[in-house]
Amino acid sequence: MSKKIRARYDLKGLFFLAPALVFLALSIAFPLFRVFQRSFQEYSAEFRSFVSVDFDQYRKLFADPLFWTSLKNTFLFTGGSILLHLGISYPIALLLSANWPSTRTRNVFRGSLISPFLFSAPAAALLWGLLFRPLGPLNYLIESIFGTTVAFLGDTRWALISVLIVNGWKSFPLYMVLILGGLQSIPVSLYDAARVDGANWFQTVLKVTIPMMRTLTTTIVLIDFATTFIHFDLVWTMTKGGPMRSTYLMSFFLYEKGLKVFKLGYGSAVGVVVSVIMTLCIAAYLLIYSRGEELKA
Amino acid sequence: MKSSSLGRVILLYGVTLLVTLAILFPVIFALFTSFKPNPEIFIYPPTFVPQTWTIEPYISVLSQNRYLRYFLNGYLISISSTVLCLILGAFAGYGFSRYRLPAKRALMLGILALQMFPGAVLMVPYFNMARTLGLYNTYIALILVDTIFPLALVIWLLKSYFDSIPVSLEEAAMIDGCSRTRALVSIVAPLARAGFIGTGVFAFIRAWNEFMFALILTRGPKRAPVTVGLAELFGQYTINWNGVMALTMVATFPLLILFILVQRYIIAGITSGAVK
Repeated sequence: MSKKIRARYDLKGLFFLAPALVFLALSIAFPLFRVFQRSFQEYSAEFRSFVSVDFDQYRKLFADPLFWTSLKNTFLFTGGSILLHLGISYPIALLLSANWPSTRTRNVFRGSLISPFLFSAPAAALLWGLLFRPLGPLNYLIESIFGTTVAFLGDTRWALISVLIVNGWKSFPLYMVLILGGLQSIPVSLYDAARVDGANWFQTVLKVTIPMMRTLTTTIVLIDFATTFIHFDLVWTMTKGGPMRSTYLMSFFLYEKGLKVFKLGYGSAVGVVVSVIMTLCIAAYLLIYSRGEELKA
Repeated sequence: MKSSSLGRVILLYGVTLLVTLAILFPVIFALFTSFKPNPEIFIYPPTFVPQTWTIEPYISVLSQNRYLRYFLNGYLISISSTVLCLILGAFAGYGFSRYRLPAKRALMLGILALQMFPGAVLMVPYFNMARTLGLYNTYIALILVDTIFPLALVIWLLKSYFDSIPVSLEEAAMIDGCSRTRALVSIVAPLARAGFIGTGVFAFIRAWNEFMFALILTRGPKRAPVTVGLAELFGQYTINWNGVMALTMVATFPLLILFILVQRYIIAGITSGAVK
């Protein structure tokens, strides 16, 4: 920011922005507006076009048990993912931010730990599908300990947990890297002060690390929420929402209503509900983000 | 922090090694499986390291035109969208970096917010747009989609790279009669090479791994990328696990190479701005 020399507005800059901004407006803002518009309409075969139906789509939606199932599953999946991501990322990031005698070795570990992030959702689904096989390695392990086997993706009690594990595994590296960045930006002087005051490792984590990481953790929760709430690909590849709709997410509802049975108005109403929840989350994120920038400035 | 005593270092290495192996277990197991002959996969209890090593799964997968087609499509789509994304992103990032504009912060935050939205909500409109514009099952549709989603991040990253390049260089060139665009292309862009590589790799990975829109905007293997091919294999009753794992490895291999080459740029990319 300090590099700016020109004090007045220079509108020529808009020429540089225009292509990207027009592209984003046409490809995101406009379709979102269409979804909003369609959610108050219904296709009429009689008029061969969409006619206004006020809030009918929403009334129908809130009376649809499948909608509530998908909402419940989506919240379970999102909440579970956030907890798993933080639960895996934090300890690993703490390990990696310890005082390593060789940065090279640490970077090799860090690189290896990021690698799940490189697998596409279908690729991750296949890797875990192999582990989840009835006669696969996980069942061998479980059988030798508990004397029974688990039908991971085929059992309504286990399917959601199974896809959660895979999603936890696949996406944690992103958050690990963010947390690692945060941990490394805590001033060393704070740790020194804590040590002078005679704090042990546990007390230091509790009184220095955790308070210093509060904003970043909130940000991560919000980013993870926004990402997972509209999750589609991994769970779709693994279960298609089954068995017995036990892993049926909001995005599947959108997909089926909009693209399989072509109830565009109905599907759009779901889209609007999802967007409203997302907007709240994104607004919170932006608020924290811009407040953080003010503090830095 | 504490001085590194030997015991502490051994503990640190040991714990980290165990955690890393646990995290990598699915990958290692899949890699070994891709080198097993088919009958060995059905042995119970399952073997970990192959009893007999074979590269037959790789040969059988890579000799099928269907799979080669997926790879060709994947490269074509991902490279094109990366290039498009970098061009759009470079101009916008430059504009944001060098010009005083009204509501600039609001615009930048708006872009950030917009890019968090998409995904599933846009499935239906994109499907309809593709149908209306005659872009269903074409490369163009997928190239455009894969350009949209990383674009906000690319703009933010390139802006911060441009911010770190002194304005005086361009001003000197412009006094000598060089135009703004020319200054961007021949002075700023070469200096921001690291930024382009890092963000480019990021955009490429996003595009290569994109699945949802590839699924709804294509039909059959003619235009579909690798992710669609992999997803088809999941849930088939007779899976040739060794071949499938070989395919998964081949599909992820290019990303692994890219990642190893430019790891630090990618990490910088993830961290800056805390965007996904």
